[in-house]
Amino acid sequence: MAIEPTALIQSILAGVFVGAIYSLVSAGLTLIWGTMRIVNFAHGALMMLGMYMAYWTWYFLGLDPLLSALVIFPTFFALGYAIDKFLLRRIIQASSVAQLLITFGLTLFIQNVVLYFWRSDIRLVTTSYSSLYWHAGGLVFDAPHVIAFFAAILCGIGLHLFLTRSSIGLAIRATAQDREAAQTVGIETKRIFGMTFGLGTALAAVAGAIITSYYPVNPDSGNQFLFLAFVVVVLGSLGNYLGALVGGLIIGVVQSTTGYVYLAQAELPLAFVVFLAILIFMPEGLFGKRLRR
Amino acid sequence: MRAGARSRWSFGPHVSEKTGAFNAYIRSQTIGVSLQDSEGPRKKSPEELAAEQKATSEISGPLTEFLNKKVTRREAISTVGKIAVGVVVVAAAGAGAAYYLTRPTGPTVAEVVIGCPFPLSGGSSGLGQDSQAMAQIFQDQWNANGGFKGLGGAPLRLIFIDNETDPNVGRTVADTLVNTDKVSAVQNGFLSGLALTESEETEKAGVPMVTGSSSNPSLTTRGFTHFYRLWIGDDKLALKQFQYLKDELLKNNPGTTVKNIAILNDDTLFGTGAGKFYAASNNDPTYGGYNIVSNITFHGPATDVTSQVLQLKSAQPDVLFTAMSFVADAVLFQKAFKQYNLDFATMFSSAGHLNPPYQQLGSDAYFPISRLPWSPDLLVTKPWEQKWQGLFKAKTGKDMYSYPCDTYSCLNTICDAVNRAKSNDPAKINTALQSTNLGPDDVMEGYDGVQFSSTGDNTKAKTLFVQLLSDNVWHTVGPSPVAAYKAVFPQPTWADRAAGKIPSPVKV
Repeated sequence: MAIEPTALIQSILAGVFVGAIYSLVSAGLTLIWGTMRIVNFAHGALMMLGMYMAYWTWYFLGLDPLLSALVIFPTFFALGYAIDKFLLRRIIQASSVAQLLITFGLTLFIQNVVLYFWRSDIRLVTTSYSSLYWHAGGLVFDAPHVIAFFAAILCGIGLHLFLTRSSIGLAIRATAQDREAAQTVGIETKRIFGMTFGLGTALAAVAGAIITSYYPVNPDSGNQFLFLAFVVVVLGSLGNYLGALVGGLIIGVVQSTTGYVYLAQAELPLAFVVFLAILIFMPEGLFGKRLRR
Repeated sequence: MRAGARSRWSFGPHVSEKTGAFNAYIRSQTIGVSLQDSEGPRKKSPEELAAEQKATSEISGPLTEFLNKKVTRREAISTVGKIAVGVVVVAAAGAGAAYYLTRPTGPTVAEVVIGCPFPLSGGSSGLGQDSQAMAQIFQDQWNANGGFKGLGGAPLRLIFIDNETDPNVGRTVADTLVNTDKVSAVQNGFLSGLALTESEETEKAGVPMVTGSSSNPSLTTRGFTHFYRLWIGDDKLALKQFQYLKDELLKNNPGTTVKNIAILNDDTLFGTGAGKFYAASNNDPTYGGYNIVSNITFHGPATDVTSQVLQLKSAQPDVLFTAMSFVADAVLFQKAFKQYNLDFATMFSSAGHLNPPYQQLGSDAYFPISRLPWSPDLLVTKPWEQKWQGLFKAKTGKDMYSYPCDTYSCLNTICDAVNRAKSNDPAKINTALQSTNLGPDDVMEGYDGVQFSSTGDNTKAKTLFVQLLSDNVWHTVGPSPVAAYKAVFPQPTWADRAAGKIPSPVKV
């Protein structure tokens, strides 16, 4: 098959669009890991829950998913804070296996609650811009992807500003850097953990909400993204939210262009080849500190 | 009767003759001399003779006295009456005993347990939950109608277990069903990948499994003796689709030509298998021979399908053959086809497209053609299905569709075998399944019934070609003898659809 330049650019753009969503999902995941040292397997399930809330607010109130994201963010922040307070705080000092099991259990719980109440049928959100396309220079831009992309970029910028400019953001980063030192200087780390988990949860839910304008909602939806989010998190250096934002874009573009230029079935394998190559030559990830022997 | 009128009966001469033989017999039994002694009579010693004489006198005395006793008519009648009463009493007791021993004793088997490993979560959970709903309705109806007649009315009990749409989990749950729950049979759902692993466990345990639409041909070529499938294998289905394209769609629409085709399938067992058979069918000298301009296998469920659609856009096929297991992928692709204005004369679809949520796309979803064992048009030709449609709608809020119908037919096939086997023993049910011979009204699909070949394939299976027409219903458009509606071919372009040029359904 001859490679058409326009189609190649289109596939790169598609990679950037989906990569931005990977970035947003991964940012929450890496934030939780960096600060709390917990690998949150429930991240995909919480993302899926955000998708459902966007769907139901659209279904009953006619609220656009982008607008519902404004409600979803505080709601899921509170939910995340509560999960930390009533569940994770009890196992924060436990072994990593116990932490993995409890977040995995939380995933099963959330998925089964959703299955119980809403069954597993996929649900589609139809907005005024669901079928809106722009054509420019032989390229096609569909409104749902473009809008979701910019929403994800805005969230990324907002996250960066929050973590670098606000006192709570600085406290989160300080705790991530050195938990004991943060406690020594008066940071209430337990509260910071709650806020971090709340923030990570809210980011996952918002990522879920903003893709509902083009992505089907079902109890399994979050898992498709969680798998790649783990790759992105490691690629961008564990705990580094900026690395996650860039890593998401890399994985998205590699996946999409491989599918077009080479083979669709090579999309994931090649994404993992890139992932392994970076880890072999840069074991600390793209944005990690150099490991010292 | 007057007292003086009674007469005397004498058994004298007869009795004496009989007494002699009788006494001889008694003697022989008493003193141990066999009348059939092959060594012949032996000369007895004086002691033996004395003992024999003593014994004979002891026995023959009272007997002879009794038999020689003269009885009056009244006594005779009385005796006969007593004997008659005795006979009646003995006969009544015998009849009672016979009745007791042969009476219907209620269920000899407490219940018949059938395992249902369904995808209740994961990528195909919507289909799994609807199949579960139909299975529950079947169970309720079966038990309300008296349960298993062949087992004295024993009830049916279904055990549902979630295989998470994951073949590895499927293997584990199948093992649980056959080894822990000790089910009599297993009804698998519709995904080939799940049927593959689950049936390995049931086969090992000697428990029969009946599946509906698991269409990968390899399932019935493994030499398994406990695996049965109601539907047709993908190899035959793929060729039938090519045949339908040439013999009906192109023949009836001579203005449309098809030179290039593309194949698009996911990486599940069903997807890769169906994709392979599409390619193989194109080698058929009669129905194949098109240029395969693109052959894509993607990972499903996908997060984005742009690159695959761009590949197809570059290849420009006239007809697209697809095999997608997941409805989420069917939705993503259809949206992307519209986004990139990718037009085909027609698109052959299966599985994911047939999942009802696909129809939420509205007019964007219209016109793919699929092969199915069931379509809503059968509600007209088989009116008894309307009752089940009502029950299904009441339970799920949805109209009945192909996969729940498969569930009904699989369970009915198993229950028929249990009734004929008159046992809940898996081995006996398996033997009964081998001689299954059901008619068209024993199944919901458009089959001629159910009869299994030595490989476990249903020799009475048939396929329908259905198309999602603009009333958003999958209608039967082929093969021509059973078509209820005219196929829309070629399907309208996206530009035509945007301009509102969407053809209405036309009955044949």
